[in-house]
Amino acid sequence: MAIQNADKNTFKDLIAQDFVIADFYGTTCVPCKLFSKILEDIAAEIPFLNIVKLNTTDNPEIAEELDIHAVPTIHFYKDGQLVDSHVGVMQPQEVKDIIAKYMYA
Amino acid sequence: MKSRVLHAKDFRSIDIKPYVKPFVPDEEALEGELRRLANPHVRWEAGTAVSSGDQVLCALRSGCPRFNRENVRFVAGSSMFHKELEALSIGMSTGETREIDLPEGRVSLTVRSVMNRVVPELTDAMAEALGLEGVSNLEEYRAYLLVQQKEKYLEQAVWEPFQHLRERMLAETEFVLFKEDWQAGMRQKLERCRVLFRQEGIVMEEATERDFEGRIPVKSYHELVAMLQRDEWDTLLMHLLGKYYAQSDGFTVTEADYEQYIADYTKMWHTTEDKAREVDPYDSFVYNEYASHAVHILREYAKTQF
Repeated sequence: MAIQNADKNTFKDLIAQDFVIADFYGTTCVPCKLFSKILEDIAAEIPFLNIVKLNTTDNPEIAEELDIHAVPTIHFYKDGQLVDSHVGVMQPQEVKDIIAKYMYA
Repeated sequence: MKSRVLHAKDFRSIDIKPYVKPFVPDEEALEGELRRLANPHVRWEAGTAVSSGDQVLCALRSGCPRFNRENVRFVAGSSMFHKELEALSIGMSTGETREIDLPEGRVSLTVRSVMNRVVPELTDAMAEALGLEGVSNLEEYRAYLLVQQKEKYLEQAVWEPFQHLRERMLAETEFVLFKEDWQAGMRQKLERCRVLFRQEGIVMEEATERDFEGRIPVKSYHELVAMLQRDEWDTLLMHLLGKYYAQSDGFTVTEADYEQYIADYTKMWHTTEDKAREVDPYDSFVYNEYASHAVHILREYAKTQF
């Protein structure tokens, strides 16, 4: 599984190449835990997918910098560029639709 | 505060059964959660034939540039690449080529390599590895999940019986009430809102409908005052009930509780300690904690009726 935990020092490097899903979550956020499980399922299904998780409670500076005001927020990056984003829990097929749209573009 | 409880209604004598909807386990969700145990143990092994869920590396040939590519990798049946092409690949072997007519034109797909997805059987060791207290095998993990599922259900389902219990308690408990206590509580809540607005650079009395949007479910300052006046009545009664129960169950609110609250508030709202204390001074924290204590007692009792 390609799920990596980022912090303010590593985040930008981790999203710099290829297609990356960034999951911004909070320590006490219950919907975040639900979405985390959905991402784990997707990672187990698609092993070459890059997923980066960032705890906004512990890393408020980068959340501020990226304009993250609610969690979970999901960013989709292609070679470091933000190509799509979503606030709130996404269903598995919604995530896959965005993968299909950008990963092979 | 001069207001107090004169005689508390015994909440156990209030029938809330008509509002209790029994818990029915969601077996499908339970099985899905159990299957998740295998996720970290999924293996990818080089194979020759493609089944649904396998990784496929292929070459595509087509007049359409999108489908004229070398080394395209996807998971067959995942719908993440292309539904029809993924379906076409299922049942193919390494080196084999098949063609399909898509709206974009004819596409030829050659399978270069296959990685078969191998999902191991669930074992007791997988459950034990979770490190959950009291869970050392699959059966115990299933029981644990069932408890979790029920607790989650109760958090939602308890709302209706709790509301009924609360309404009856407030209506049938005898209180001695002083208007100035209600006014003091009201002023406290209003001041809290004023501070919160001020910290965002807004004068509460001049706040517009847009200023309130997403913050408080009112459209004007006057609506806010009316809402706080209405809500404070019940909050005061719940506070008095909380104080009443605390006399016998030993519940107390300490400065350490307050400091923890301020630390949590500061972290959650990314603010300073000073600002957190300005929003919720110690006295208002204590006042609200006793009201929450009464809520807790009634909710926990309502849960036991499921």
